[in-house]
Amino acid sequence: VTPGEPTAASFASAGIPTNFDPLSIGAPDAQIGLRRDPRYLRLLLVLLVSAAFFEGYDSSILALLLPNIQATFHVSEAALGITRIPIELGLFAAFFVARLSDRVGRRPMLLWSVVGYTAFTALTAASWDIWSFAAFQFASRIFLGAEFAVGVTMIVEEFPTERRARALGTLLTFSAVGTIVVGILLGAGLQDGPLEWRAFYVIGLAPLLMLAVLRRRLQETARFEAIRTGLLRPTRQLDLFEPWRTPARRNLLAVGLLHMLRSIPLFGSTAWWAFYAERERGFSATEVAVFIICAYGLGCIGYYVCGRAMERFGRRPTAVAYLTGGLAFSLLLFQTASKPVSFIALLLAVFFGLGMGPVMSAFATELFPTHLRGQSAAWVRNVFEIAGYVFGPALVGVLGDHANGAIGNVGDTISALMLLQLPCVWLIWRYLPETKGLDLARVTS
Amino acid sequence: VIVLAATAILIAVGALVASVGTRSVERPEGVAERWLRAVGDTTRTGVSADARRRASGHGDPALIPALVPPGQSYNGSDAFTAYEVGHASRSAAGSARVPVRLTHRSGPAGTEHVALVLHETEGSWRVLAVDPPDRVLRVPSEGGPPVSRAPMTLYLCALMIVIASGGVCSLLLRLAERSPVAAQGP
Repeated sequence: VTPGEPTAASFASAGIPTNFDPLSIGAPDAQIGLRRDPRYLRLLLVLLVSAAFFEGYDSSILALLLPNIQATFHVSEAALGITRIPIELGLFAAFFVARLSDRVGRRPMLLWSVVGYTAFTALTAASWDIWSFAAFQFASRIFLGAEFAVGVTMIVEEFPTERRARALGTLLTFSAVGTIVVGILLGAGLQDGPLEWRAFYVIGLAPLLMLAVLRRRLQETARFEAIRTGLLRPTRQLDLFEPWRTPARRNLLAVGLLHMLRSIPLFGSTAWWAFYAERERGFSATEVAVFIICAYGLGCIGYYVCGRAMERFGRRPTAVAYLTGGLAFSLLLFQTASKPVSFIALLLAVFFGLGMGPVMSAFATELFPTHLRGQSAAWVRNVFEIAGYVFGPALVGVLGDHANGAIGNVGDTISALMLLQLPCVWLIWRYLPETKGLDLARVTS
Repeated sequence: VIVLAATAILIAVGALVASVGTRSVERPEGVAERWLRAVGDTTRTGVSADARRRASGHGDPALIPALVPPGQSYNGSDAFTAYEVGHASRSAAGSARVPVRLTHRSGPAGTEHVALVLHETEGSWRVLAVDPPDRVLRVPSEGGPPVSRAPMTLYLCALMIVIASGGVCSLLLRLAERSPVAAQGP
């Protein structure tokens, strides 16, 4: 390609962690000379996997060590819940930070995200009260969210089409591995050491060591470099509000409300299960760890089954079945006093509750025209779903506070919130079209 | 601007949730938990004095040795690795007995059962005695009732909210279908 003949191609907008269908797909990578050496791609994947791992790891520390953090800062359940609002807002802000990589480049953005994440993770380990903890976690979440989003973007831009899905799958798998590792460390009693729960955040400094070793070998993405030097012409970057000005807004609203109503009880329950198990059901920290390792290890099969089921039976029946299963087993989980029943319920709640991710991603992408897909997915993920991250844990903490909460019981509060998933079934059945086996162009028309 | 606007909205909603979702009258079980947390912290290095101050705020500091033997070493960590509180039994005289199961970090006590006696004055509860375990009162993991139970009316209210949410969603979607489109995509 000569500079005088710009090729119509583009790079994916960063900051869209759930959008794995970028505008750049279809560009003849080999023809325009953007293919990378497989050895470099392996190195890149190793670097990016650490971002995904710590995304899962960091989120799980707060969920699994909530009783320990409460004990250190001696705050009420309500205060713990309220502090989740600013903390999770970091993920919302991360969306805007990640978009800066469209200007400054993927490589510097990724490197600075790692530095920012590790700096604020170290500060989290040194926090002196719940508000300093919340402030450092807010900043840490910004950089972590940006790091993950830029990581996804780099994979999309660097990996050839035939290897892209596997690379993204590896990335997401390591996010789940992060949760399992927190469970293993919890079972090993790291929280009982001299640093208590702070030791978990000290481990969060590991990416900085990896960065120090590998940063010189990390390159700017070939696609971004080609656009910067004028070899490629970027497509017009759409305004964030563009989907709301088109007929696609009806689907955007339906899918957005679906994500929000699902995420409020989902994240409320995942954030408070360990606290509920320890304080309201008398589980030991070791039991919590074993339950989490088994549930996430086996429950992840839910992702695979969901992917197969939505191809075989369709998006809508699969989503309705998963929502119903998630609701039923979550209610059982937060109501039973029996530990064996609780174990089975947790396993199946993870299987159905978290396992329906693929079908939710399908709704968030397939129902929008190609030129609006990225922005629509960004709205769904970064506005509607983040609302669940923010409000779910806060509602549970305030209503379930043992001393002053209106309900006074975390288990019953989550059970009541779970009912919010019922309108999701209605939304899917009444307002979302079935897209199984249909050409995307036909769906969006 | 979007981030600041969203932050302002979320802070407002958070304040609303905090004001609506809390009640002014405390539960004795919650106060018992806070007292136990403070008592457990009295063996932690660096925060012992603060923990004693907090324990004094929720109960009689003279009761601390009843749960944390003075000569016992905890290596600078908190005294309890776990504690569980059950549903209180209240008397008409403004007192309550709260069943507690404690797991000591070290020492011969291991897992211990006690009943905390709390008294209410002017809407707030204080721990006034540590009694031997009650045969009737049990913690949830041993078959006792939870600290608090959501009444059936709450679930009915939640169902009403769910139905209303469905209605609001339908209304919004119809509005989105009907209102004119400002601009078409490329």
